[in-house]
Amino acid sequence: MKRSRLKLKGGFLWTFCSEKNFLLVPVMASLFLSLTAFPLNAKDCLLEGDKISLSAPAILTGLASQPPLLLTVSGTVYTETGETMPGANVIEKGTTNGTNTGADGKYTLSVSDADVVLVFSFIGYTTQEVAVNGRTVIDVRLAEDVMSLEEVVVVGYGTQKKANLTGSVTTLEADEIIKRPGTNVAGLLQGKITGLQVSSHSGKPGDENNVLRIRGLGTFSAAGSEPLVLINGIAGDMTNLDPNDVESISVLKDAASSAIYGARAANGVILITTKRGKAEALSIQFHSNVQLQHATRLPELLNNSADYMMYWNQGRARSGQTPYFTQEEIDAFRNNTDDPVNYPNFDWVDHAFKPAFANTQSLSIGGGNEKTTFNLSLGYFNQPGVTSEYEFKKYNARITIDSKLKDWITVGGDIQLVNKDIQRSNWDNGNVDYQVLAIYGAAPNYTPTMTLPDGSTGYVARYSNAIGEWTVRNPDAQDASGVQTDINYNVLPQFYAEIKPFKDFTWYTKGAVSYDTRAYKNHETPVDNYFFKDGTYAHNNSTWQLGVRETWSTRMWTTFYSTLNYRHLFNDVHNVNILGGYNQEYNLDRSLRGSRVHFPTKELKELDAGAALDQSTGGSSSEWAIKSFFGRAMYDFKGKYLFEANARFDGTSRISPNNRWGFFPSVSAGWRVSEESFMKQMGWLQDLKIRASWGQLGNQNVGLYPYQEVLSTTSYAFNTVHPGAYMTRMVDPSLRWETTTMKDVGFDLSTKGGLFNITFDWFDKVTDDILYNIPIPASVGLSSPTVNFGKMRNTGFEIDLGSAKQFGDFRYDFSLNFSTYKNEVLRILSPVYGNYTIQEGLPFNSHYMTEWIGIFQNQAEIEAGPKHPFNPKPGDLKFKDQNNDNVIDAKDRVVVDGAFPKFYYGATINLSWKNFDLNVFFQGVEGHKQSTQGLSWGLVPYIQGSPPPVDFINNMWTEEGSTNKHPAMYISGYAPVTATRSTYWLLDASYLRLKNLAIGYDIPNNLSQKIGLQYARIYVSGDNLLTFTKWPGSDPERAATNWFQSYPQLTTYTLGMKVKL
Amino acid sequence: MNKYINHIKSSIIGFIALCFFVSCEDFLDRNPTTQISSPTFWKTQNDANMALAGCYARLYSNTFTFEGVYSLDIMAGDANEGAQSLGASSTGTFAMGIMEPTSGGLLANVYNDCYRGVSTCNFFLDNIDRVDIPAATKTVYKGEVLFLRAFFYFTLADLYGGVPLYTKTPVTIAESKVKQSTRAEVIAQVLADLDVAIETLPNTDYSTNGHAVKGSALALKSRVLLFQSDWAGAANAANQVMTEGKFSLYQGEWKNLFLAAGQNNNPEIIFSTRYLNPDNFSSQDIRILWHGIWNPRKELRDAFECIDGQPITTSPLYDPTNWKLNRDPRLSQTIRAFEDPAVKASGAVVPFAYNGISQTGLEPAKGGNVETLPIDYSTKSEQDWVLIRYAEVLLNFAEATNELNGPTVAVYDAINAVRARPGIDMPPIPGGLTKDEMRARIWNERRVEFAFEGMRYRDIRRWKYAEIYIPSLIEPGSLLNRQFDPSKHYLWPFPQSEIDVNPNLVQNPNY
Repeated sequence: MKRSRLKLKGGFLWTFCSEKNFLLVPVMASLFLSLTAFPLNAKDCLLEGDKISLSAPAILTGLASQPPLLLTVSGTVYTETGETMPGANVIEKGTTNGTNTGADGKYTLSVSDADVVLVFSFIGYTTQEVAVNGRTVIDVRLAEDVMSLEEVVVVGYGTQKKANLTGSVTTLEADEIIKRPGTNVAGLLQGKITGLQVSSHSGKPGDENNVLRIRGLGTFSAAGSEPLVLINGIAGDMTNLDPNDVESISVLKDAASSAIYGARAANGVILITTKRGKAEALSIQFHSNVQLQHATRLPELLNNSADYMMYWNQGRARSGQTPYFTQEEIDAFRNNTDDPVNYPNFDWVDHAFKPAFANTQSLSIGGGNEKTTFNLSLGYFNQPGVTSEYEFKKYNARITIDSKLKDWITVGGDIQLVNKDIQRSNWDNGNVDYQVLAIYGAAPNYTPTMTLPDGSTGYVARYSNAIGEWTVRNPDAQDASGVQTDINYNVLPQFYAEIKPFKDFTWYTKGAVSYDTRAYKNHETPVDNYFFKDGTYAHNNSTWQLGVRETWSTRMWTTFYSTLNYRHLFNDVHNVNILGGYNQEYNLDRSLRGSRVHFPTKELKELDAGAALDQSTGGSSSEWAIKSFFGRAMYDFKGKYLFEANARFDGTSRISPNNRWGFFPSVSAGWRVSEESFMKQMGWLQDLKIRASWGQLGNQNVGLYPYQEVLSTTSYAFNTVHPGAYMTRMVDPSLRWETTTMKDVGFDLSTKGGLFNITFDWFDKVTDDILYNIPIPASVGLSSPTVNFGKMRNTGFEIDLGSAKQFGDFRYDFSLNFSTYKNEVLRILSPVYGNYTIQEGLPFNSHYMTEWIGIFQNQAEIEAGPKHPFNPKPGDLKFKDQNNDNVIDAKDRVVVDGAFPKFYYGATINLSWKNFDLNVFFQGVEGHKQSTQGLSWGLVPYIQGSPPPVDFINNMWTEEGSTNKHPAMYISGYAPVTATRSTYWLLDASYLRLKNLAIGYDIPNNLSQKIGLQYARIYVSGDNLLTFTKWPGSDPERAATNWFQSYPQLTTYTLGMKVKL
Repeated sequence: MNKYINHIKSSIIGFIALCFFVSCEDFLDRNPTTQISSPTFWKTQNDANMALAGCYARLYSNTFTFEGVYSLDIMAGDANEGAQSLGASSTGTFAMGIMEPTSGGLLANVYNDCYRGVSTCNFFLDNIDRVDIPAATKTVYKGEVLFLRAFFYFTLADLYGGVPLYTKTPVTIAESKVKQSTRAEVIAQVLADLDVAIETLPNTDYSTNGHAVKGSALALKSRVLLFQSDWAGAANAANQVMTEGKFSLYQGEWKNLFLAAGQNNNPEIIFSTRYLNPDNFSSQDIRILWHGIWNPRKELRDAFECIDGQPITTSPLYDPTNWKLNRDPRLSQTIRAFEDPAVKASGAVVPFAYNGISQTGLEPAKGGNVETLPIDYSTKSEQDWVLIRYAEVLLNFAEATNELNGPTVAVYDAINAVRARPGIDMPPIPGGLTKDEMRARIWNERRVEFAFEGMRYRDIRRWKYAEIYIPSLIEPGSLLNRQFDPSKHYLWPFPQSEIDVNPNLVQNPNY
């Protein structure tokens, strides 16, 4: 066989064979057609995958039949974000007449007719057809094709062509991320990626507390189920990012793709890359928006004071307690509705929640030449809360430089600077949103402040001192007592060198230091509160943390890694890619705290201003280190049969030297069925790949020093305080890592032109050696040792469906993702039967409670049925006697489903027409249930005086036959309703949300260029516009805190613009 | 070719750098920075001091401070759980006679707290000989730790009966799963430990430096023997404390015995859990003066005599419309009415602002420092929790001697000394009482003198009086009678988790 190499215009290599076949990689196929030197008609070419057959006569015919050229069209091709696109193809439709855009994205093409259609295409972008209609200037904007096979995705320590992936990796591109106006990248991932479940705890500014779970809850130990997040290869915090800086996000879900991260990959890995400079003229981009935010859902609480007082008396009477209010008092409220000063019907929810204006500004400057490129970006975000005192400010800066020193060495790096300032109510305590608790709990029969007998204004504690129990604090009085500030800085410089010492070898080394500081301060002063009825003194707000408490903490996290990569294509068919590397990390945390209690004035907030009496100090430090060797070998035959193996060898300081090294391997294979010749006949098929993988992963978060026998320090007050030490726990020095074994089988299928595509993955994830506190007799006097014992499985599947098509100026793009998994405990030492049950064969922490079956309608029903505890009356809850022993007791508890969602899903619809585009995004969770029994301000009537929900008032039992929905009016602590843990309190937290709807308009280029802009876009967007749920009142979308009240999610209306100079 | 040489050079340098990182072996050895590594401990005098303080620090637990002790008074029927109780919230249920192995709360706390103490003491005794300090010091330290261990084991034996007995730290989990010893065996160990402590501890006062002394061990021994009905032994041990004269009744205001102000160098305190602000503090004032976590019952209020030394049933001085009038001065320093405001030393009258109403209309006064009002979560209480005091030695002596010899002069002297202390000045017990009459007076004296010090619950159990008294009590809210089943309730159940884990442990009868 004779073989020769030719160099064609455009710089591509191809092979000419004696059989007159051209063997080309698919990339070149479309380019070839566009080359003007070979103007061929498509019918003369037989396209067979990467081969194009054509005959010499056809070439000659093509040349001869070239029509005369009439009209010259020119213009620029842009990306969606307004960057010029060099090398794009422009072809006159139905002919071989075409050209490429130059380095500036500009093209000029002579066409045969004023009515022809031009086809614009570029690898990785959706092809667009534009009718010329006599125009001489045509600018187009090409949309990125998310289903493109040529797309390169970021994987562990490198990149890979999507077509060659054998693992389960889902990616998200820059444009998709910033479609919504959020500033928290974790929140923006919600509903976008199969297998990734994001639960947002609240809309609290700067404290959304998103919980991320990849393929379910991996372990029940303290090692945790949080995925590993790497930003440009360095472990980092997603909340530190400006979403505008993000280039792409890859979520590595199975063992094959994440085993290269070994001991920290058990819960999956999220890889984020940020934007880098491009070799082009200086480009300045600006993205700005303003947001109007308000609480998405709030409970509707009784705010008619007379009813409030009447029902409280009723509830108390039911508990055998004396009334708090006289009939005269109630009547006075009922009859004096025109006197809101003395007889208010105060709506605290309305009073406390106000709309807030947030805004985001982001500026990016980039550019460079072929040797050196840079990018500088600055971001600012300001978000006041929808309640008082809360505010979040975030400042981002990032500078990125890449420089090609020689043709074999490139160096570069980037520096990230972040400042996050959070202000909270001083009552905020992480999981428990006490401010919201106070708002939901405040009663309508008093106002926040009142005029005292001496004419001054004071805060109200509660209605009167006749109410002999603690009621919630007045939220306004709490605000007056001070605030909490939390100031965070992060500096993360990272530098790399990429050396190509020999052909086919790439040696990449990176070093980074992430330095965080946090200054946390809580300030609180007493605030006098008075009884509303007579203005007498009640209390001083019973502050929790009087004075000033400060904690300063720092974290230094250094990372160094180095990889050597070899890739070579042997004989044009054997593609080999081998990577080996070393990684080490060291983390040091330090903290210092101090507090003083007694301050001369409210205004002085620094420690030195306070008295030394009752001051206290403390400080601590902790450290850990990890060292790893890792490698990957990939092989594919003709891009048809794909094989990959990964392994990592990890050593950690957290485990004793005897067991500290762990080995985490994975293997995977893929078969691109669509590349087989027998599949080629199916003209509609673009790609079909079947994948399978197996691997093992570790979880190193086993505590910092779990294997070491240590003494805890303490102290005892003899005549002076003397330090002390004692042993507190038994230790198992043979502790190992938790190991997760994961299997994944999946396929990717797409049809030509992107009309339809599907990705399916089934997985089976088993975590073994889960760290478990093995019970020992309490008589040992030590806490139990942590041992490797538990085992748990998550099995499920994920489907991504997509479809996209262009009809003239109209284009749609639809995608749906669906994920489901089943959690099962495989091994524990002894089952737990409490409010939740942990048993082998059941989902972890399954709901375990008595089944509620209605409301007792009359005494006869109570007497006829099984004996209930606490002597119920008509109007109380009726429970099911599961074991038919005629007694309702702990033995009647049953497992109730809903501990984990049945499935979760997201759907995105993008529509564009000319310069308009519309984006609709739905997201939902189904089959999730949550019990908030006992912790339910805003749900339970009169818990610390809380007004009952209106729904309860409207649907409560009043007389025989009235309802089976809610019991008769009761007060918190009324045993027949509250003391049995029952399904009455188990609420359905499923929801479907219209997360985002955005409409954008790209200002036509000829218009924008007149005002000196390369690109301009304006958009309006709404977040959390609709919610469909059965969850009453507060927000269904919340982490399992077991608290009903939480800082609400926000509905946000955004007006924004993006411009490029 | 030159170009490649450069590449090779740079690569070599790079790999050397890489090897540097790889080779530093200590990189993965990271030790805790705020804890002490056990293998390197037990060397110096300072180590010994820290380990000793660690044993004492085990007193900082529910069981040996106000919270657990108040729970016992609820169980005794002298108080009810507060309506807004935030702490040991099931105690009210236990008090009703609903005590189950799975109940947890108080029933598990005492077990856990005592065994943490035992384990710390055993760990000390196992290792102290490794420390290089003078033998004399070592002997005293061991004596203190044996005293503490006796204190922990006695508490266990009193409430649970026979319990697993460890005199060394079990090395393996299997080794720890032993059958319980009999109550007699545990008490024998307690007495053996106390005898060593009595022999080795310095014969000084306690309050000056807060370490257990000979008198502490003797006083505890008198209590242990009294609870064993070993009247002669109890009287002897008590008498030894009385004759050695290192302790005496506090001459200051009685209520200050329970507040920080009166506790420095207080000759009455024989052993206590000690606090010192700002770092070693409790929340006693918040719990008493604000939360009102337990409500004294009327029966206790009525147990206080009138100032004529007669019970309210017979005293002409008693005014049923004003229970505060003409009463034993200890009453107003123990109990107050819910609606009464606090009066500070300065004369300022301030409201209590209780976090919840009182079911009984009464609130505790003993042990709460009104000077801290208005109170909040930053209030740090530093009053020591008194565990043994001289008044008990006197009343132990009186009770034991009366049982042994009837109401002798010595019996009268001991009980009257307690009644006649300055500021209390209660008249002497009338002469000519029978042994039974005197016993009744001693029982009542113990009840009022030690109200809310956890003594009553343990007394009525050892007197076997609980089965008579407890069922007579009616709950103010539900109007139900309390229950006390003598076939089981004299002992607490072992926590079910303990039975589950330790197959050798046998549950107490009828649980």
